[in-house]
Amino acid sequence: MTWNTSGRLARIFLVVFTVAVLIYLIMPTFVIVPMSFSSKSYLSFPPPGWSLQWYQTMMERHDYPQAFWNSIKIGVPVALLSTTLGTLAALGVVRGRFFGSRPMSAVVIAPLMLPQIILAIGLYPIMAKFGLAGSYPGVVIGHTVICIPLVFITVAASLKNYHPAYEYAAMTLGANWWQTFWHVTFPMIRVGVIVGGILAFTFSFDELIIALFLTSPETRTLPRLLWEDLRQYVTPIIASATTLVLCISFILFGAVALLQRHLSKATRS
Amino acid sequence: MSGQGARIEYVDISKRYGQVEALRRTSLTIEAGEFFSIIGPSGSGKTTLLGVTAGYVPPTTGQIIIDGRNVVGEPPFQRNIGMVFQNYALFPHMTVAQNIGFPLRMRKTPRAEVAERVRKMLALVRLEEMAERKPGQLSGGQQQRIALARAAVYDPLMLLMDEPLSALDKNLREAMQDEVKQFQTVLGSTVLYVTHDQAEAAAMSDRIAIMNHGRIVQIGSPRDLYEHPVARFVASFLGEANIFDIDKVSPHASGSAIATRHGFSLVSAIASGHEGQCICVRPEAVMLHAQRPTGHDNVIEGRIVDATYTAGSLRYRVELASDVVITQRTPSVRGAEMFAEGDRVFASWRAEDTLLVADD
Repeated sequence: MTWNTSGRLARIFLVVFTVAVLIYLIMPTFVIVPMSFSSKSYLSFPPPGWSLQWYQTMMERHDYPQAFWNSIKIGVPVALLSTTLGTLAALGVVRGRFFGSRPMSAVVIAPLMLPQIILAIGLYPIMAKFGLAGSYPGVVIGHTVICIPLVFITVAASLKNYHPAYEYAAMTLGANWWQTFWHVTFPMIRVGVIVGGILAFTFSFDELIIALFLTSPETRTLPRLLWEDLRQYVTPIIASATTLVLCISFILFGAVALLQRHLSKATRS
Repeated sequence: MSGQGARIEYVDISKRYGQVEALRRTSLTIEAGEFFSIIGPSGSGKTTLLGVTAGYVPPTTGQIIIDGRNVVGEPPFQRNIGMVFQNYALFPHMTVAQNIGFPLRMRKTPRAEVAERVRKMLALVRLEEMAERKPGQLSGGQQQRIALARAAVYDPLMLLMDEPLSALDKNLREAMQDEVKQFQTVLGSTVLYVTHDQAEAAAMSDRIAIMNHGRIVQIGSPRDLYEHPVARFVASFLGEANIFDIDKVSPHASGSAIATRHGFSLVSAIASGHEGQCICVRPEAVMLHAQRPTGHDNVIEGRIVDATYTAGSLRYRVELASDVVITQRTPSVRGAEMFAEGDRVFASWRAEDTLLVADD
């Protein structure tokens, strides 16, 4: 009886605690959404009235659509480049048995651990020297530095998930290096590669510090434009643009979650 | 489908990983169509020899000559060798038919021929109805048969098998031994079979090589190895063995007279015995008597310390001296009387069964 009561109390406590943590995690993100539908011209929570005017204003200004497209024009090549390089790095470090493969994996992951401001300060003079500061290739290279480790981690995890005997088997059966990769390795790590690519795009789409250093007014991304706007006039247009970024990020994270569920189902069968 | 397997010759083959000699210089010939097994404890070099043959472990020295062609330096996919892996390594994202067809597709075989040969292999392993299933939906024994079919569908020069039955339970393992053996007979392939299970190797092989510490200790037919082991390691690794340490060897009318370190002497038919060897007596060679027998070469009094009956045979543990307990085994005839624990008995065996082997 007492055991039952204390068990129920413990369960109620657990539920309340979990909900509190979830609210703590998500709340700040969602405060921005109602503010974007404000009827007034200043940022306030909760908004005094409702309207869609700030979304309309955002679309009518030329700099917001341009920054949005810049973010995509930078994010897509970053995702493709870092997916390719990160996958190759993971294959080499996990499957290759060469001297120094362990320290090498630490080097590959390092850009993710270092403060981004250090990377940005380091990248700026190099890009300036090559005339790439402010250009698309400049910021693409900068973002790729941090996105390679993201892809590396997801692909290395998929590679460690299964025994290399599958690859040995393919080779004894007559598949050359490329055929072995294409018919056996890639299908086994596909989900890891795609998840890594999506994470890379999302990172580039949201990133501010490197963009501040390496983009110009012509190539500036949405996060940089938001940052610049915030410093001049705090209107709900910032909330509208942020909500847009939030939607895109959520759609991509949803895709990652679906893919990972698909993966765990596939390995179980 | 049935071709003659190739003849494989290893010449001075060795593999070194840094300071570790995984495989010491080894020369060995496997005849065409032979079922050849390698047994040994883990770390004895057997898996290295397999990897070197398949081509994913580059040897440090030596040549591997398959039907007159040295394959060392060729990548695995050019060697035309079939391999069955311990956990089958069937591709989980392909159907059974796609798995078996995989080596043919890699060889750009026409589509119709692929389908025909896959169908024939499925018939050979009696799994036609499983063609469209994924490997994950098959039982262990079925996956094993598919792995065999996939490794043999392209008429490889030889089949390598790396502990292919170790993942199966005991009853299925014995049934699969017959299956693998029959499969090899039908196809006429040369098989190199690696296992740590000596009974499995003995049941299937034409010849067996026993490896230890990176080298082959002895090669021979299963019967040869059991009846004429050259070393203590071979004697105790293959089947059961009663081992006695030697103190002194002297000539004797019927061979050698040997003083053991256990307080009794034995007679062996082997005349060339010497110190530095040890004695091996197989459990089946030992006879037990209630009364002291006459006219036997070796008779030692002892006490039964354990008596067990297992499906058709009696197994006794007999204490001959304070530090020597031997094993004795006889097929049980119905109604035969059993000794009980604690009984005084006389153990005897012939001079011919007192084997002298190197004490390693």
